[in-house]
Amino acid sequence: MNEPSAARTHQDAEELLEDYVLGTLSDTDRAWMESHLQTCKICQEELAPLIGVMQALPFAAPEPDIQMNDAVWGRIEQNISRPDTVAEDSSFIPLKTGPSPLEEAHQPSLTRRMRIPWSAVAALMLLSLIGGILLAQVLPSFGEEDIQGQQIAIRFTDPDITATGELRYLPDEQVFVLSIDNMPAAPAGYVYQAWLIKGDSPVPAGVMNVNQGEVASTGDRSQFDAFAITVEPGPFGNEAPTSDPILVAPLHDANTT
Amino acid sequence: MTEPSDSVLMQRIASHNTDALRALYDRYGRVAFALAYRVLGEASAAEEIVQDAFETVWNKAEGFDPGKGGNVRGWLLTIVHRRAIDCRRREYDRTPGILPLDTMENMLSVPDVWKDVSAHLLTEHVRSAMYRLPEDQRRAIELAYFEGLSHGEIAAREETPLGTVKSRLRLGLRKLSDMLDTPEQS
Repeated sequence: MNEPSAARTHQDAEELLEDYVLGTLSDTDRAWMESHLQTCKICQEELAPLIGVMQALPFAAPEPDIQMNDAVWGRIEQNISRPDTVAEDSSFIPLKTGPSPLEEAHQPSLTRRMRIPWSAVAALMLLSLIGGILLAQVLPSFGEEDIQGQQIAIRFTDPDITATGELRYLPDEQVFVLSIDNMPAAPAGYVYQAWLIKGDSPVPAGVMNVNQGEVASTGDRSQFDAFAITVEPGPFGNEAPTSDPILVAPLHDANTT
Repeated sequence: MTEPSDSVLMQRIASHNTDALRALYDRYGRVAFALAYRVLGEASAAEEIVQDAFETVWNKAEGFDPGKGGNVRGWLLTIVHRRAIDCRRREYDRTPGILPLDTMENMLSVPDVWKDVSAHLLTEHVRSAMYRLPEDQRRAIELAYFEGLSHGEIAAREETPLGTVKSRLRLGLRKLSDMLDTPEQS
């Protein structure tokens, strides 16, 4: 099932419940289910015994014919004993101290050594929009909300990136869907990661599938100030951003429907 | 001497107690590796998933709230499973995804029904229950859970109508739930 823009019902959720607990839903469907489960008592009750099964299923994996390497614990111990690199002031997200992976690969012009609060990103975006100087790809955005959700203007922070695309918000499902055409491949070992930003606090919002040029993120638009994409270590991304955004989209501006 | 519970270990991990993480690793590292290896079929990739999962536990332990029905084992193995499936999907050029930890609340808010059962006994119990499922239902669950296939993909793989696959999965999971809830009848 992959119809993010169609109005969905409880019956749809019942159809998806097994796939949800088995982890086989697409990002979009999974995000919608998460949203539905927050309010649907019936689905919550149906889900409970299935989660019990899910807690047990890992133990159904057969004994491997190979042992885990003893060095795994050594690597874990080494990594967790590293000095904490998070900035003392938690209201600031530390930006990298050297070129980002994307800069190293494609865009040396972006190199800078500084830290900025994420709220400033949203504020600057909003000011740019008001001033009419935004180089954004403002999408056509009229009269399509019922079918395709709300369209939100996006902007690549580097003019060298020639990809085009759109960000849509599906208010019923509370899902953001970013679709980009011709997105350059992330540097080896890195991924494009989405963030939803409230004030100074970015929340991880999924990793982009570059082949499809898409990422779906769940969240209530009214609760966030901006959407952004950064380049992060793959394959899973980070819990907090470590590089400057390459794409930003303010969520509260006049250019959205 | 009684072993500390998972929740106690998590509290110690939150205080940056490396020995506590090692104890959790000794307790669940093997099943975590078996799970990742079953999904990926490749030892080094499975080891990376296990390593990443335990480092995530270390980094997120401070936010762990045993008072909210916190389920350490479920949390850890869900991380391992989802990330292994993500890795497998990328390998086959399918839709990747990431499971943000804060979206796991639905999974974590249900208490660990197996918390008093050792990993060894639970392994025997679950494998026994799986064997008692009709073969087509067991296979559907294995394809979905261990290989991350959607209903449609299972239907194509098995050359079976989509509705049949859905029924097999639904029936299999419900039967498994019933059998696992009544271990004394097994």
